[in-house]
Amino acid sequence: MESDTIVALSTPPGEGAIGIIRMSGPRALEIALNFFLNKKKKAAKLIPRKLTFGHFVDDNDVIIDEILICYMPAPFTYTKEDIVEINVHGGITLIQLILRLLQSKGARLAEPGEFTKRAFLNGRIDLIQAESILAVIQAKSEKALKAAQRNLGGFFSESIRKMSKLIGEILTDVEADLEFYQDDLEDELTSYEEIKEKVKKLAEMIAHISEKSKSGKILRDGLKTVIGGRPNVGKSSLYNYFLGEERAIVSEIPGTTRDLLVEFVKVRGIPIEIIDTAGIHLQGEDNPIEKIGIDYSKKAIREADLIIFLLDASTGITEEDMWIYKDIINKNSGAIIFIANKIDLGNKIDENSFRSYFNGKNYIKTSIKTGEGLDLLEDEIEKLVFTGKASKDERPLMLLIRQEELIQKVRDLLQSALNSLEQGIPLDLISIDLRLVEDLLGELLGEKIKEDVLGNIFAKFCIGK
Amino acid sequence: MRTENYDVIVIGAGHAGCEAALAAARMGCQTLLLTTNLDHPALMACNPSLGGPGKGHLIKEIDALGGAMGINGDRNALQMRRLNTSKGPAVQALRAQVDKLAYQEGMKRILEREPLLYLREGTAADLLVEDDQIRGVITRQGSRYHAKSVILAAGVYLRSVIFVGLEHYPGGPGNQAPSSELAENLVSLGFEVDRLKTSTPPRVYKRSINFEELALVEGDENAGSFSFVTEKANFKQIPCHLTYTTAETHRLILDNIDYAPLFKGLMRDKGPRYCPSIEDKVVRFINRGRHPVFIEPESAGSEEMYLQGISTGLPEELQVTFLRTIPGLENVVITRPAYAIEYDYFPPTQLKATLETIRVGGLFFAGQINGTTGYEEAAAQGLIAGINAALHCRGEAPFILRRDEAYIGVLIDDLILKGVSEPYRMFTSRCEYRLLLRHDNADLRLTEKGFRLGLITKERFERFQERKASIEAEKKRLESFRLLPNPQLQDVFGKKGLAPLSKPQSLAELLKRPELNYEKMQDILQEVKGSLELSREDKITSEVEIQVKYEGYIEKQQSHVKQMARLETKSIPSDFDYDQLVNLSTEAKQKLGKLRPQTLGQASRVEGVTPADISYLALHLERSQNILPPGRK
Repeated sequence: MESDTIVALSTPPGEGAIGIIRMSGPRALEIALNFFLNKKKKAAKLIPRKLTFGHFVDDNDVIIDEILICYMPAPFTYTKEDIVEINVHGGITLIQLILRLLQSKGARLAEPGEFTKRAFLNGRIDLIQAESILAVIQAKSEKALKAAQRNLGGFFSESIRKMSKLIGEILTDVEADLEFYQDDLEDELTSYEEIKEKVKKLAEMIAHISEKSKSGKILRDGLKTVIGGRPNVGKSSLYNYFLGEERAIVSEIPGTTRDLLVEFVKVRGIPIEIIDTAGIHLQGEDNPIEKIGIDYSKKAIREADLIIFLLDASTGITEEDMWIYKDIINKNSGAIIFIANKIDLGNKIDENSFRSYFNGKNYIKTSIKTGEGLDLLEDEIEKLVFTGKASKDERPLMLLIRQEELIQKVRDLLQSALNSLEQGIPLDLISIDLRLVEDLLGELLGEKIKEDVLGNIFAKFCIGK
Repeated sequence: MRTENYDVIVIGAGHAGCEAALAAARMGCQTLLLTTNLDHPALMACNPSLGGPGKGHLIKEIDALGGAMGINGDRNALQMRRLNTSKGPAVQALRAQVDKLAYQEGMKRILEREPLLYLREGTAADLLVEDDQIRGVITRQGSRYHAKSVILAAGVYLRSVIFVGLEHYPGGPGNQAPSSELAENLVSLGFEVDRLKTSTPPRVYKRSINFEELALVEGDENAGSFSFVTEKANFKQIPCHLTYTTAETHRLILDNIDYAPLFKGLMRDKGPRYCPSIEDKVVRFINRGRHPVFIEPESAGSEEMYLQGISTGLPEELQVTFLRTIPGLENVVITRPAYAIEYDYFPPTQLKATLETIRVGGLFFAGQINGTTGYEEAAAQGLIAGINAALHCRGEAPFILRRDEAYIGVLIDDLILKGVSEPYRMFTSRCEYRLLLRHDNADLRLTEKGFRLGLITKERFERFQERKASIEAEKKRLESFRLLPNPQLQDVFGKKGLAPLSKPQSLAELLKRPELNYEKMQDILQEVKGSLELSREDKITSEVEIQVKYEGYIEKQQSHVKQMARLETKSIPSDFDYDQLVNLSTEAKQKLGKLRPQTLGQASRVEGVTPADISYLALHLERSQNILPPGRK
């Protein structure tokens, strides 16, 4: 079976100055030449990897567009197949006409990501690189783009490769212990304790990668951020501040916001799904309409990655604040940022009692009205996204769902191995988890990383019997 | 010239040939076993022992499929040890010192009693092949024998050369003549051939050894036995002895390294890494002060002793000199000098999983000519070749064991897909489902298959079913009997130093505690009123204990097997054209085209074939199956 030839516009759709149409597959050159005339309006050959000026013509040699065309023969191309790239002038109608003509001679419109899929299937890139490229395509913000690019450079692959090297070492020790007798090898064997230490180290490495993968998920899907608090503390004002427009209706009347308002915004380049909620208050439970709004708010808070909990500095901490915190906000496992708003009207919050009320937490003083403290809020959000403790240059990782699942599995297996090692379970059983870890790391890299464990044993130990 | 007709001819009566001939004959085939010397069937050309991790597993599996190695090993054992008892259940195994001469005698008797099996002295010289099908064998003596299947189990005797120091001459183990015409015949048939080497240690006079200062290596009284059939091993265990090389030994060897054929470049470096010669060990592990030497009896009635761990290619006079630097061997006298041997083997990538050659229908290869080492590895292949040769004669579906069913499956799968770069020896680490393939459950895994093939008698099968039922019943009892955390019980627990019971628990759950085993649990139960009496039969309780105690791990491995089953069941047509897949890597195309894997699972284990190749191949196989017109498959 021959692979077919695919074609697609590889620049973003829309009115650009130029568009690049890319074709990949065994018939790419042949199809392109059907439509190409050189400067002298003659059919012409293309020199590999040279940009050539000419005309794109239809079946009747009517000129459609002036173009630059480049032919890259297999296998030294992105897909390892023949590739032809045509620079045409922008404009949706023109590009669609050219794509239709190319299809009429046998090219097929590529599915999303199909060029990358071919690059992977043809062994041009490994699975992680392929997934990172797909992530670049899907990245919603500049930061996500940078994270994805870092992956391309193999930062993630490198970490996994390091782990696979270590697991190879551990397996060599484990198998040598299982396969041969102590009296043959004398005291050269690695002790059970040492093996446990090495597995511990491996578990720490995967935990580190796993922590980073959380920031990757946020960069991809957006940080689900809920603004919560009792009525009339300025939730909708904060929401409008993030949006940069008057989206939510702001009034002095408590309970103005009844339903959830959801928007996607960027804070310091981080995609955020920001949710404004109805104010929660005790009496509100009695009003059936308000109650619906409050229930929505509670649900949103439960599911949030981050809660911005607003307090009113001018009134101080009230019973209601305490109740909301204890009964609703503190039941969420995500991060919480405390805001004391309306600082321009004075601060009645006592630092010490704040800490004792809220488990020793700190708060940020803001006035949404004057803009005071909002910088600090953005700082705090950014810091939390990059793994809480981490500073800005901490490298986030773009991990697609599959990678995250695999990493989680590796993490679980290593934990199970560690637990068993704590109990003194024999090594032949421990090896079951460790061998699966080796397989999964290979799966993460998209290649076989099976160490020649026996070979390593023979190199390391003098085996005689 | 008169021509004799058989169903199956087996060439060679070593460990592979004997099992092959027995299996074929027991499956109803008129079987001829051709050998150059009828005095030495199943010759143990190297160490006088059987088993060990991996190898012991193979013997148990051979036994469960009706092979002879286990029974014959039990009958002629001089010492039996259960290895790795301090390690987990997956790597425990039996190892026996065996009376080499008695083993041959015993095997000869087993062969002679098999009604459809005919032993014949003769040296095979040519294979009769027509239309890529085997027709029979012509011997050096000029006899012609016709058969539907032929199993070649010629061991190391094809163009073998023996090296002692810098001297070398054509020869084989046991001073039996090597054959060059058969090797040349195979090459002319188009078979690829290569060379391997191995070596054996010197044998020495028992009376020339001073045992006084040497450490004893004793057998275990209740080690168990290789065969399901062996009731209770009843023999007096003979100890072995352990000594060590010295700095002086190493100095002598290093000074004379130029007299070793391998280091002189006379031999090719393809010896086994796990069984290096003493000069290899001394050179590669220069910092080790000493290497162990085990002194083992060759036979109960013989003066000859085998020196395990010290095989060498050095000249005879140097052998004597360096041996005498070893404690206990100061006055040693050699009976047979050590030698190294180089021989032909046929890369096993030329075989199907049945051990039939891809090139010639009905021709099977088994044993050391496939690049393996070890009596057990040879016997396992012989058994599978014998079974499949018989099935081939009957025109029935082949018998193949998967990697998750038996070490034998792992062995053959490795051989045909990966080939060998040194003599292949079985290790437990070659097996990914080690906990499922324990030596103690080989009978549970394979007896039924053996029975269906006609290799297990009805009487034995019934006994086996009894054992299986008892194990199940005992397990049920453990699962259904519950202990309640009442004061009396907590009192017993306290006395035994056990943490108290926190909630009602079945005995099965209790047994999972790391500090408990069957014996200790029986102890406890005796002191608990109204409790039940557990089985005291070791063959039942040891199996139940493992199944219950390690249930979680066993399930983990089973679920992995299930996941992989998808690839294992996806078959690839035998005439599949890999060249048409333009996106397949060149290496994958070449290797898959040559090895002809029968399933995607096999293809995925071929070296150099990437996961991308496999997903591409899988995609293509799916697509091509979908577009086949109805009624065609």
